[in-house]
Amino acid sequence: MSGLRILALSLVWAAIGCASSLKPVLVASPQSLRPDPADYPDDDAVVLQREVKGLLVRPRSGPDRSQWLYHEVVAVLTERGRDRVDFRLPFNRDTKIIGFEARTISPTGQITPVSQDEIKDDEGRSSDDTGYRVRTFAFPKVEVGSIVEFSVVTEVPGLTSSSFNFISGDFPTKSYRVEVEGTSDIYYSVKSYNVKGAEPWSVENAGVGWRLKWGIDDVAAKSKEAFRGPAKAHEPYWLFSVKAVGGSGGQVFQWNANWANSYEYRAKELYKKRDDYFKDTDIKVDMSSCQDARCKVVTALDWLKTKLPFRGFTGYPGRKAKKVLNNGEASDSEKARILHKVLADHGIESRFAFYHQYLNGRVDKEFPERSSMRNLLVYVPKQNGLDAPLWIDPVCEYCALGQLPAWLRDTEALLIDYEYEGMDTQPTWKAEFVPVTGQGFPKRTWTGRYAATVAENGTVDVKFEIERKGPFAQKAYRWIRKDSDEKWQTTATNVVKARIKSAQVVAQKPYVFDSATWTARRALEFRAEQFAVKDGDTMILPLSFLNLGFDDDFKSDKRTRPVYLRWPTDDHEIVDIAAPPGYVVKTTPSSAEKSGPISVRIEVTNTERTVRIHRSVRVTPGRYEPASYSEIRAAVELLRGIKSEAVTFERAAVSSR
Amino acid sequence: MQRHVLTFALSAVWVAGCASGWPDVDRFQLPTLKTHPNASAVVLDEATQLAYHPGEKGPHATLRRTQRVVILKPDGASAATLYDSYSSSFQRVKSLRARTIAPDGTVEEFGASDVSDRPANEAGVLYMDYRVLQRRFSGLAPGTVVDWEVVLEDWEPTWRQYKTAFGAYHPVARSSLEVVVPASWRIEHLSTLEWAPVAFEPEVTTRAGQKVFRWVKENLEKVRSEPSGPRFFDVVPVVSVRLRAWTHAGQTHEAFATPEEFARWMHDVQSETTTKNAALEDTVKKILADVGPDPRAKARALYEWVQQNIRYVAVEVGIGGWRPHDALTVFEHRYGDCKDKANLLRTMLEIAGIESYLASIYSHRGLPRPFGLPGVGNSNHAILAVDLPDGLVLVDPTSRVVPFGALPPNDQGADVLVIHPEKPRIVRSAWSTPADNKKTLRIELEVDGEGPGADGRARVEAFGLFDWSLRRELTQSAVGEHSKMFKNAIRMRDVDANDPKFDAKDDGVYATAKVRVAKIGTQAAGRLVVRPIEFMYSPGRSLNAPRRTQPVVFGCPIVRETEVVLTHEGRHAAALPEPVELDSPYASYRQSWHREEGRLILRSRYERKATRVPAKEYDRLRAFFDAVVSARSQSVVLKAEAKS
Repeated sequence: MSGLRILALSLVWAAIGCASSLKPVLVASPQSLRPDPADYPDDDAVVLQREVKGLLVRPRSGPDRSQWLYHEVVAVLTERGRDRVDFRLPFNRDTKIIGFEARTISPTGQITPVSQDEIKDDEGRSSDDTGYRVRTFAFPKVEVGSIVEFSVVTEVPGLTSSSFNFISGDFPTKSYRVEVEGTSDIYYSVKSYNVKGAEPWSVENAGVGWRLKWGIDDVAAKSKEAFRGPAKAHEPYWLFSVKAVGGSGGQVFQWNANWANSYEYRAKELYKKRDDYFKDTDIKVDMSSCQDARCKVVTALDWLKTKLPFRGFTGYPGRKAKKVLNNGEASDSEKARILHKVLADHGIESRFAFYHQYLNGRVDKEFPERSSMRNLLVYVPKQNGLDAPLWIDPVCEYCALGQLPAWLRDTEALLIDYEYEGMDTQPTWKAEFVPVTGQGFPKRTWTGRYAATVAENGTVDVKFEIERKGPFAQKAYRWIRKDSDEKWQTTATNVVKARIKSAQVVAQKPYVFDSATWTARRALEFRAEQFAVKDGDTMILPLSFLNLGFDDDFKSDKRTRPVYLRWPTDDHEIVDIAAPPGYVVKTTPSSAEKSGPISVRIEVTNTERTVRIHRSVRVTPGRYEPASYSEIRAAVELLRGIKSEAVTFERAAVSSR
Repeated sequence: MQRHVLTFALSAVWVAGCASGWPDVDRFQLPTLKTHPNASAVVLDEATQLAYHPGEKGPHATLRRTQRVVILKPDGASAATLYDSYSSSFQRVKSLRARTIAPDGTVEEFGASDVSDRPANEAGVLYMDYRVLQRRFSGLAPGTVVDWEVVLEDWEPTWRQYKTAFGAYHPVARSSLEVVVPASWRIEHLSTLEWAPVAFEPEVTTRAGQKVFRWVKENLEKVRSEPSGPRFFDVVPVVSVRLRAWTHAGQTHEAFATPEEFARWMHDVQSETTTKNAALEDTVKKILADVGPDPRAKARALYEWVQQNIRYVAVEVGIGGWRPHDALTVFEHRYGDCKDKANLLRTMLEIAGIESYLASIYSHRGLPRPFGLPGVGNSNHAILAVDLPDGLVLVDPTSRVVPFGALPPNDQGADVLVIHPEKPRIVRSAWSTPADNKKTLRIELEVDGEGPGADGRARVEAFGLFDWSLRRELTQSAVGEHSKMFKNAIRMRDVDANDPKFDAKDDGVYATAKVRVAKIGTQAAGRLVVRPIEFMYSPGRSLNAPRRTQPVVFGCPIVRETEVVLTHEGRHAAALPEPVELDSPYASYRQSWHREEGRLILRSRYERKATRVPAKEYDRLRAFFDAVVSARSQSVVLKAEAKS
């Protein structure tokens, strides 16, 4: 934003003189807002009113500034709510508090203002030398039934280029109001999301500028349901951005007028200031045996996998290349940036693209802004030796070339490109949404294989092998790199105790990773004394030791938000049980299956002396409305139901009688 | 930040230290993954130097902390984090620096502007004058050496003591404390392990007319973070040091000779804080309007008022860490920290004609710290000693629910310094007994026709700390959370509670609810195998690690009694497991199955007798808990009754 600072003022806004300031506001009759606690049986507090006001100030002389007012009125409903009303507001070193009011209104209406003596202002410095200030105070005389209210006006230098605001919080909100005011030379975009039924934004003239107004009532507290998906998908929020500002002589400076504008800063970092990122590094990848582009891409990816295995998603921009190389592991954007450099060093043209993961964010293509995409991809256009363009996410170390990871399903990425027009020395930045294409998507699979033998006294010995593929193997690969022998022993115990509390680990080995197939395997042996129960001539082996993903999910019979299933899971549990000596199989659970967003299959086969139970769960990724919840739950109930069943054996002699 | 590359073609020793004031690094002597296969970093040297010296207005102290770490694995960088704290009221940062030396010899240097310096944000404290210095070093290559140094100046060292811990969450090659003091001054020191005095004496030498005391430990194993373990300071050797005698302006001064002398000083610091006005006196009058003349009853009523009406908010600046805000301010704001609440209660008791005294205590997490060297640094909490006709009663009005006459678990078994103006003294608070902290659960379930679920009613009776924790939740939570609270209280798996009713009486909390247990066992071939482990949690679940280096901290002794009554229409129990009786010095467990009037009954009683178990007894403790799991894994087979 600083690069776009306007140096001279045009007559249009020189005439404004609108540099009026925002002033803290307090509710005239707070008692009238008092809620009925019976309406909020699940909540510690309720936000009676939340108000945000913005004023983008362009004075006749002096620099631009932005003021923001935050006003909140909260009713305390429980003791725990009473403990949570202390106030700590951290803000940037450049931000000033220019207005402040706070008070407590007792249940009987008595007002106690927060006095200046009770306010503690302090400041700190972070290790990148960024300073910040913090204002702290406690509301006086708060009791259950009190209302606390604060109103703070801050001022920051320059114009706020964009503002992203979630509306829901820890408590329900009765009334939410927002107002943003600016001069007519500021061109804006504003929009609210997930606000079904709310009135549209209104625009009115304010002096020589505009004033935007919007509001919504009765907003529920943030959802805490599992598998609820990203907050942007269902929690109400609004976005404001400055598209452009007028300059002298009718010039217009574009800020967020289009996606190329919004991402210009990042584009420069990625392409033009690349040397800063790679300072003090010397990356050398041997491509002497490569004749074509394809080979070089494959070699670069292999090098990246080996030298800088994935450490986890951190988003853009990641650490400087030198730190990454020192550390020996890389995050998503670090891998992408290094891949691009390696390819460029070997004459392979590639571009960056930003995206958000499948069902893990939200982009409004009509609303350019920078906050919605933090993940980075590499796009390799068709070129000599490469018949078709390639999308590469180097995080997907288990993907073959051209294969896409599951989080790129249905993705349109923002491809950042540039070109030099005519004799220009500065590039023209381009950004367009392009569907990410490729073969996909490798599943993440977890398979547990049990070979169980039952002794005549009911003791069960199990040889257990876990096999992980895809992202699951990637995780195990990281454990292999980090975990100590003692940690392996402890995790072995945890794995075993999660199945049979009374079992003891007999033997265990850490995961072994096979990079050729991207498979990680771990072998364990455990014993559970008298886990099988003898009842006369019958031996009962409970199947409560089964343990698969989703076994403990979807237990609630209610659902208010859609269910987000992001991963194409394919998990299996295969149990081979040998009858105790002298026994034959008497009864087994039945086979069953259920299809849907979560598909479950239980396959039971047996011979006279052996039983095989194959339990599997497959997930079809997607967003499923609450109406589908019963179907999902029924499948999971079927999945876990077998854990309450048993295999029974009967003495062979009895059987033959 | 400066950067330069060192060359060491002829020598394996990085000699940067000489010019920059850092000690040399001999890379051939550095630990490696071969010497430390299970470590991700090794602390080569952690050193604290405390130098007392004369200042204009009295003694000053310079506190210099240095650390050198070598990174062995990518995730070892956390070991190198520069971390220190200081009080802005009594200390200032004199200098701050750090450097990293990469395996290729590249040196990066860091100064004060590269280190964050921010207000401490301690849990439970709204605002304090403590500040934290921190610098994380990320992206360091294995083999990198990190040095850092913090120098603080302290202008109020005479009434405070300094505690130095020997050890880290990584192996430590060398850890040292050096105290330098003018030859004519005296210091006092105390070495402890798990807060018990140990023989760890300094080497004493003379250097340039100053006495030098040096404590050194080498090759320390890494401190582990273990479940139910004590805090870091509770398990490492700690040396406490304070200035005992010094001269200033030709006069000799002495620090507190005894805890009692320190208490008198505290009394002075805390004086004139029992401010009163008509409104406060009127409030006391109203509270006591219906309370008889019994001083205990009066004290109880005032205690309960402070408990319930003064919100806990801690604001501590300078001497405010030890001196409460005056009683009227706290009364007006209706908030304050522990000493504010205790002091307001003291003032209200005074109005009611009852003497009481503020008292300092270390609020522990199961491992009490005895009072050490006389001076500030032995306590983190304030309570009140109320002088009643039958003796001193210790009360903690910070707690919202603990009744008058009892102390919360964190205050039990602890040294309490009673700040009495004439007769200050240390008393030790008592631990509660298992019988004091008892929870009983009776659950009556009717097994579903098909099994394996069951419906019924449950009743919980909670006393002592179980009472307090339930009562606290009850006063804190929204009505909609009561079912969840009940579920937590009965500690059973996969249970739903409906229509919960809580009755908080004087002696305990009584609660009932309708319950549904999703699974009480396994069904097969017309049988239901009931196995308690399927629906009841077992004690000691977190103690799975194969070995233990630290004591297991239990805290207060407790008793849990459970009775599960199963009604099973049309089924009969073939045989019942034998009763189980397990006993150890630390805990005991009894379990028995019964058949009564056609119902199947499981009775169990778990008693935790010890407050902590030494690490060397870990295997024995684990064996005990394994035996409890085995007992709860025993099963009863319910079979369909044969039709006549």
